Amino acid sequence: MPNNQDPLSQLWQQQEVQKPDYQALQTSWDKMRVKQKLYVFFDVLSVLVTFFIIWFNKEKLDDFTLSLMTIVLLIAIAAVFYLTWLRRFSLGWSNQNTAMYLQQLKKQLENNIKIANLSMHSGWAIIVLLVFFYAGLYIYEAFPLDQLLKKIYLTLAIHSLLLPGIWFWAKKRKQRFVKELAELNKILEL
Amino acid sequence: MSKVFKQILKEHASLLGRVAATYEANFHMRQELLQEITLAVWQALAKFKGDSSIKTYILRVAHNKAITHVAYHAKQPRNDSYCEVETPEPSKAKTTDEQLDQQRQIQQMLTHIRNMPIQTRQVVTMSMEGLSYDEIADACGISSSNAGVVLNRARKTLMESIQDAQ
Repeated sequence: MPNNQDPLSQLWQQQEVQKPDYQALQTSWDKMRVKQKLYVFFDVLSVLVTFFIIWFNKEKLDDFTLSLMTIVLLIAIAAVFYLTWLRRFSLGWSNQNTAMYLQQLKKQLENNIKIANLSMHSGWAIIVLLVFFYAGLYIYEAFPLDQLLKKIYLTLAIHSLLLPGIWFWAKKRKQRFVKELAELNKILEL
Repeated sequence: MSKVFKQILKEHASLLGRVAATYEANFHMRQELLQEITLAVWQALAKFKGDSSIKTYILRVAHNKAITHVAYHAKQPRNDSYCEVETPEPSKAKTTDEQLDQQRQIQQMLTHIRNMPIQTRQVVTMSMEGLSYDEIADACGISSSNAGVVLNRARKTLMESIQDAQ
């Protein structure tokens, strides 16, 4: 049994240790809370923006656009639930025993890779959706051709900047989580 | 931060510092880890239900956080500002040969512990913090007999390495 007369324990207790910086700790705590709230805010915002666009423009929108926007809204709601489900392990598992904690940690890293994959490939889905959307507008003659072309050019310009940015960001995150998972497996095998 | 939580963290600050020292040799990285561990403990204190002693609970959370840190930082490139020294400012107090010898033994012990597998590291350090086999087993998620076997083996090699350093 361990006891305080043990020479190893005595040596252990005599080491000089660093102390936490409580001021910095308070700052980290505040930042962390803001970050968590922002995650939830942006998840909810992605759904609300689509909802309000539909709600305030329902009279002006043609049937095709309205149907497509409703589908996008449903996909956004499903995505928010799925992402929250994938992030569930990050919410307070640190007080589990270590064996269980490590299982959760591995699962969370695997889920983070899935989230990064989802972000990477959401670009393709957006492109397919846009092609489908503009093809529909053209077929149903929702706008005069020159007006429609202007809209297509603007959308192309925005997305040609936005989508590669999202792709590279998600790819970097994926690489980081894959490396972390490999490292975790390695240190646990030792 | 509530006064109670702050008091608990202050009472266990040295213990948390020793956990950080178990996982990080670099002075700056150790301070960073200590901040992360203390933050994790602070978060977890709200969920403490009294199923174990507060010390066991804090040690469990601290080790879990430290393992996450090790996995995250193992392959991260270090910034130039992170010097590779273990302690940048040596103690200015006068040291006798005996104290120097003790410091050498402590460094030897820490180096040896940091090279141990994660579970062994956890079992050994929790034991040196005064936890019983049952408490260690509960925190690690292993059986008491397993904790005993791991501890006895590790202590033997640890003692040998310290004696070699003398």
